[in-house]
Amino acid sequence: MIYFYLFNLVLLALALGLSIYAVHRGPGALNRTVALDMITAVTVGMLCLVTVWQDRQDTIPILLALTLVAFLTATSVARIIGQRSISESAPPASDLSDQLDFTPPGAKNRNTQAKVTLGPGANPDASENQLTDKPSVLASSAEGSGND
Amino acid sequence: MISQVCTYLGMVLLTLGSLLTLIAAIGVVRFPSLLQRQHAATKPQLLGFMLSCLGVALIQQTLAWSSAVCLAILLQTLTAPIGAHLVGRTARQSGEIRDLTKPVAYHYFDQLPHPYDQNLRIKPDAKSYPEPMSHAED
Repeated sequence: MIYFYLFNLVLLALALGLSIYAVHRGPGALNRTVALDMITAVTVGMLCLVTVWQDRQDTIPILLALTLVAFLTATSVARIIGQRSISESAPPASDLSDQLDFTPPGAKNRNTQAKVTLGPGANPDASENQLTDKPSVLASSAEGSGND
Repeated sequence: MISQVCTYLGMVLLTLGSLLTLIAAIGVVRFPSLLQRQHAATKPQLLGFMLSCLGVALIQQTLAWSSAVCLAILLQTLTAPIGAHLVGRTARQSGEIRDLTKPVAYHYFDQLPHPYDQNLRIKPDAKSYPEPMSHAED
């Protein structure tokens, strides 16, 4: 009987070691998530083995809780990776730019208006005017102060 | 008599569950691409789970464990595909699965015969054959 338990324990320990190696190696978060699901499956097997080995009755809630919670890791990681990939990976601009443009129509008009108002400011003539205006103002103020 | 038969049957089922978990772990380590790893990893989540839990229920032979195992298998059947589906969908959206029409053999070998073979009945598109994915990633 003890050999049966030890055989199962060796099988599950090998599976656990391979899963940990897969978590260590797997390129990217999704592969690691798959390996973490494997670790969850190994945990369920270990729980069943311990239950049979020591004839326990108190592992029922652990089994049910593990069943209910096991899918949350894959779900949460997938949601986070999905949002990040949508925001980071450059979509082909001709295809998805209309769907991914979340700015309301009013904001677009505001942007164009801002560009129009900023347009003369970017002109070299206007900047020259500003540069020529400022010393004159300073000079007039200096003259005023000198007169006083 | 019957209880002993059930005990041995439960031991066999528990060993099968552990064996399936080990085989799935080997598959997760050896398979090169994400979908294949997921194919290997989602098997013990349901089948190995059912085998192990039925083994425990057959060995324990109590009403509490039988009902708990039925409930756990029901819940696992409901919740296990959600995570797998979301992982696969995220891989599809984030571009990890680059081409769905690519043959599975492209995941295994670095070099294959040219797709425009005379013996191929279906002429593939040139865009659907990107560079073969190198499975030696590290």
